[in-house]
Amino acid sequence: MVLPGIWADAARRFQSGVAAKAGLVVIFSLALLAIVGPWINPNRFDALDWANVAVAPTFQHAHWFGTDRLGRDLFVRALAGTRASLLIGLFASAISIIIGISYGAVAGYLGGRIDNLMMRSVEILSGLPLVFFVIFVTVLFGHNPYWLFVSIGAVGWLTMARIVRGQTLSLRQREFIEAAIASGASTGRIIYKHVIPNLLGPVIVYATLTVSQTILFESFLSFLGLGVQEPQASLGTLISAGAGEMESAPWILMIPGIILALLLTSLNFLGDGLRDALDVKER
Amino acid sequence: MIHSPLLQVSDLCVQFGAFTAVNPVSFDLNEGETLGLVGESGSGKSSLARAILRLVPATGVVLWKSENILACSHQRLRRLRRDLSIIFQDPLASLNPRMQVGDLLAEPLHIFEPALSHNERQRRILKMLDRVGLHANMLTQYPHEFSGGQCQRIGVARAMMLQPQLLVCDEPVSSLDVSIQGQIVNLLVDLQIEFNTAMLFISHNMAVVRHISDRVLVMYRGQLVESASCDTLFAAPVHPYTRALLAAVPVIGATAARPSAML
Repeated sequence: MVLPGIWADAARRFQSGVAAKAGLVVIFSLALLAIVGPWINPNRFDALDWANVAVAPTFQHAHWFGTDRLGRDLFVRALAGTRASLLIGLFASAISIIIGISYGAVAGYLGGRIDNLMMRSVEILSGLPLVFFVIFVTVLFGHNPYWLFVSIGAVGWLTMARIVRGQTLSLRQREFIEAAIASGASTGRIIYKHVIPNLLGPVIVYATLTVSQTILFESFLSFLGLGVQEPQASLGTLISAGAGEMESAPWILMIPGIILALLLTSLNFLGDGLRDALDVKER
Repeated sequence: MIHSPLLQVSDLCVQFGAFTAVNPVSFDLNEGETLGLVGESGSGKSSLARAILRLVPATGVVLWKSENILACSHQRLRRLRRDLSIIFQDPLASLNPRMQVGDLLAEPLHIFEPALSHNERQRRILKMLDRVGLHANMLTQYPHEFSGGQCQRIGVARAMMLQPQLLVCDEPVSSLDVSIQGQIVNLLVDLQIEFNTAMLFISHNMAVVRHISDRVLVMYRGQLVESASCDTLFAAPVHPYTRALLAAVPVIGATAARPSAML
């Protein structure tokens, strides 16, 4: 029985926000398309169609979004790219939720020397330039999407840990925590039952922002050639390839660009909507 | 019949940095007894209450059945908390806003009687809920859905769930309106008699303290200035501060002829 009433409340307020609802619908449709895409189009993401190189969007040969310079179908590639970007985004926010919340809540609740030690470590880690870190990992372990996941996940939880710790510091002063201590609850129980459930509002909002930040960051890495490798596609690699053809074949840039823009905007609207819906002050 | 007091406080001090909230304070509390603690805002009443339960750092000795609460291990302290309970001044703030009433009341049982079956736990929660005058259909509601008086009933129910031997009430009725205050005080007294709980009742409402206390302590600037049985204190206050405190109680229909005592 985890908080149905609070969620029901939040769901009701969430429904009243048009932008947030639209955002949710867009994200769901894109995710659904990304999953079923390969089945509704006969082309494969890495198949070369030499007869139709760099054609504009057409119904011939089912090249609905056209093809790129090598004759690969852009509809399938764009959806494969969306899938890769969404996966990385969700993975990073899952990591940041799991590690960030437990780390931040423990540091904030215990306070004192432990807090100092834990948060200074976070600062050292976040002091590392992210791009440098990713290059380092890539050089050490080679190009592999799993290592990309790991290196993005390894640094993605740092901000979440800080946010959670800050929230925990103020929660710790609240009287219901004192009541829990007085009732003999163990530290673990207080963190798990009293601190974390009261953090969920800001955490969920930040988690949706993490998804879009990570997608953007992955696009940036792929653009630099450090992310997802050919023939695999991500929105970043597609945009990077399209940027070179901007004048001769604008759709190669436009298609993944529009999807990325749609995805990021929807995620931001969703985050805003969730923030409003979970805000206790509006109750 | 002579037995040692349930709670013996000696030389208890509470310091917040350079500020001394409680100067050496000593008193006893017997089984089933109600001890009133009065004093103006900032006189150290709440700090004293929290220090007894080791919720704020303090020095001195707090003997609970001849065991020093301030010196025992954290493990031991958590065991002891089964018999020590507290009710807070702000009823809403002392309840976790993300927990349903049923979960709030189940928590003491989860902590101290984890072996209890689900049905038995529900039965005891419902019994206590009924005892404090709330309905069973409130089990799945959240604290913010209740009025202040109802929240304090939940607080009382949670505090009395394990039938504690000591209940510290930190101004439990100060934030409630007058008609509700009486109900909560009567509820506390009823439960106290039923469970034979000793009570440290903090208030600045002299009428309430007079109504329920066996003995009364008066605090002023972190020190105990007077300690007497309830009747003695109200009939013949000794310390000038106590007199000032009693004189400050507004009397309905009083004329200008009231004695005015000030410090």
